[in-house]
Amino acid sequence: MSSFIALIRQDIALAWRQNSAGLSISFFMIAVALIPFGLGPDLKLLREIAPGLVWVALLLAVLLSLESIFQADLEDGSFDQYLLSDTPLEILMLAKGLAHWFGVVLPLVLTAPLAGLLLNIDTPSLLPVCLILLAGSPAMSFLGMMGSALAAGVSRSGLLAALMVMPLYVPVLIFGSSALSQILTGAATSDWINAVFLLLSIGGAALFFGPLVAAAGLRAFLK
Amino acid sequence: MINTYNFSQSDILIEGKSLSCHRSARLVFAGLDFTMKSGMAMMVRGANGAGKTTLLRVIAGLLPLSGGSLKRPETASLYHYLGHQNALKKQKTVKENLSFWAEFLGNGASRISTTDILEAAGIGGLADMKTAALSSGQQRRLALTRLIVAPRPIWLLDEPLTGLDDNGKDWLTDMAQAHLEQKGLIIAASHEPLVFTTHDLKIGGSER
Repeated sequence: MSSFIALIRQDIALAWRQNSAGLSISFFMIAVALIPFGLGPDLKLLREIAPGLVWVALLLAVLLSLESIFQADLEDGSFDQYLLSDTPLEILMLAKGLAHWFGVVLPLVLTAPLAGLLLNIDTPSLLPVCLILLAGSPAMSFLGMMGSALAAGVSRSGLLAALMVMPLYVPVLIFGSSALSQILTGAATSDWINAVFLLLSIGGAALFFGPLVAAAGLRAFLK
Repeated sequence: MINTYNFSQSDILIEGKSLSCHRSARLVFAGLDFTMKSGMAMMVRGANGAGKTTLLRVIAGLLPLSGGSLKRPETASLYHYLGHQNALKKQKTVKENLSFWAEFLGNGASRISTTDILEAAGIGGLADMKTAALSSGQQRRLALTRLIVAPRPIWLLDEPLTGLDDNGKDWLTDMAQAHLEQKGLIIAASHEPLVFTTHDLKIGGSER
């Protein structure tokens, strides 16, 4: 148990020091801020495409951070030490996933609604928008860690991880952006609340399978 | 400085019989025999690429065996493995690295404070420095402090002397001897002579 907590604490501290969250947030903000320049000052159009745009930019920003989950541990030899712990590797992977969620994805999701202002999303919708993004966030970390682990050890593993994770993100993107467009068109809460539960259940499944897949992938790589 | 732990559980036995190992279809070594008991220290010798690292990783359970039989305690937390890489996070300070491994590997079981351990390792003055700023010998010393901060009976050391000066070598020798007195067990791969080893295992070339 103390290994589990020590690992979460270390990874959050490292994410903070390497400013992983800051990098992802900047990428997201820049991507969202550039779109209006490309599309021209059509507020109605911006509003219409905002849901899809926010989600795509968000998922791409998370992809940026995936390489950092395992690469350093494999290169500096920390991983061998993880294998010589009494705590099962699957549990340690859960710790790494949680740390990634808390250290990178959560700050990103919490600042993302600000970008909504750039896309002409009105202020009363910001809270529901935040809720939807938050509901999708565990899935981003734990689906992401699967790809990151399977690509580990390959040079430029970040790109390969992105290729593998992208298809896994599709359901999150579909449910997430459809709920978001309902919110922005002023639909009743009961219309989109189901999407919150759907996203959370995708996240729950990923929370369970992500560490298992990651542990299996990394074990196979080390053999 | 000696840690006050003892491994009073049943004596540890590591026994390899005609061990062989393949790495990506290449036969690394074959026909290795050895027997190790608590209190023994074995030096693994062999040319570059003879499979010293592979053997240590097999004993640690990090790599699978291709042939032969290996009797070893299965509990992962009995083993210390010091590889070529030091398993240090460059962005963290010396003290933070050590405290992390103390908690992660040893559950904070060591009764010696991290400050004292760093002092003994000769890097006490660097506790609050970023690990990236350390020389390679100092980083090696920091990696070696893991052996003390988390008491474990089996030490697998891969080229432990890399980067160490004479002072550092003496420190490691003292540590190893204290470990052996407490019925610990050491298997080390090295090109340089290690004073504390009692047995030799040669890999490749003229087989025993």
